[in-house]
Amino acid sequence: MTKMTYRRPLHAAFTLTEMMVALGVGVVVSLLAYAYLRTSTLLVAKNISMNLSNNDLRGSIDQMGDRVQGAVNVPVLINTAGAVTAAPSAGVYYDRLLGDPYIVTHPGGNGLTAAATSVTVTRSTDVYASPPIPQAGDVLVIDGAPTTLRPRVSSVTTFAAGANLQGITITLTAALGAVINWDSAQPKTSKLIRREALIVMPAGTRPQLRRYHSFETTTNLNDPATYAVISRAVGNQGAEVTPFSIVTAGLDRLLSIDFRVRTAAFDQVMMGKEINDFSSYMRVQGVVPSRQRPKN
Amino acid sequence: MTAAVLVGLVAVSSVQAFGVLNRNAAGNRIITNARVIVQRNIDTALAVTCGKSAIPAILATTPTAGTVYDDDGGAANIVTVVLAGTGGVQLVQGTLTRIVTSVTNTDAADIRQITFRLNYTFRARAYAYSLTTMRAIDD
Repeated sequence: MTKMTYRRPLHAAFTLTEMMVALGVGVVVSLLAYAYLRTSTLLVAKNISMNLSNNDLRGSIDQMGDRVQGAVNVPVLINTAGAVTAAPSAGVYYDRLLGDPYIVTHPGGNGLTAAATSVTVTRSTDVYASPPIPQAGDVLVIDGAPTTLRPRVSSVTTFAAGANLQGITITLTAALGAVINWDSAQPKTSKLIRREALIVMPAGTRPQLRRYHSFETTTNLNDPATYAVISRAVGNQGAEVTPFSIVTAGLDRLLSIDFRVRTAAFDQVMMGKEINDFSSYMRVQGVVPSRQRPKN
Repeated sequence: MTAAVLVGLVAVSSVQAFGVLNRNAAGNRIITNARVIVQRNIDTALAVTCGKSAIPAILATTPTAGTVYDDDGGAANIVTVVLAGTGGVQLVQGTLTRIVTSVTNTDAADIRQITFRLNYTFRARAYAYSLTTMRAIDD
């Protein structure tokens, strides 16, 4: 039996028409694939931008509210150099309450002299009410003292706690500067505060909202050791960099925050792809009172 | 052919899934805006000075159904929930309702229950966000 074999034509090929049809189909499939991938990329970019904006804004608003509501004064408006300025401003500083009460030990005589460089106080160590041990940079506000007096902690010496009480000797960074008299038979209370600041500072493509831990002792606002970054996506256009102002409600003065974030994620991809920058832009207007309704 | 259909189905469904994700993200994001609006009024109501002789407007009692409250100075009786970018376009607006009622108590103290509720519509669906608190007057 003879085996039949297929012999390829010596000049096998596609015709021009076949090639054109195949090429056309390939182009259409490629365009569909491109459209699908582009749409997917845009949707992913929008979603991530939206979530980043939302997270950034929520975190910032929560933290600003938490810090300012713990302030014992009405926040003071400042600029990016830390100087007091008019509204709207890039930043605020405020005195945050760290703990109270501390009972000041009567030093004898009429009370504390202007030359005093140390103060002894007693704090409660009860688990339900234990103000913290003062740290360097904190300010001890003694009730009845002039409001301009800000005795700052340099170092502390603690004594052994007993009966839920602990004595602490606070060495000040400078002499007290004013006489504080009181009757030794009466308790003299004090509270511990620290001046913090929230400032929108320029930093590359997006300004940063920073919280300065100890604004009173900070000399270089650009030293990363002095601040924590709350948001890296504050808006950089017009009034977006000056979100703070003070509103009045009767006799009360509250901090007003007009906060706008523009996440930098997918800036190039999103450019011109949506109306009003919706996904990357977010703005809220909040009002935050200080603690216990201070008037100044 | 089967493979082509499967690829098409995967493509269409994934794009739809991305769309749903975006809609949910946008909805949640607007809730954040709503929360801030309600929160700022609750905080103000808790913080303002309020004496027997001077009750601030934000703490004046209302019918149990409440009254419309407009605190943003924009269009009358409307609060802006979502503001667009630099153009200032209002994407979502809402109605803020203030409800302040007296709380009966055995000491006959002036205690008020304060509710702020924000109603708004997004993508043809109605949303409401509200917070309630209580406070006494200062004296």
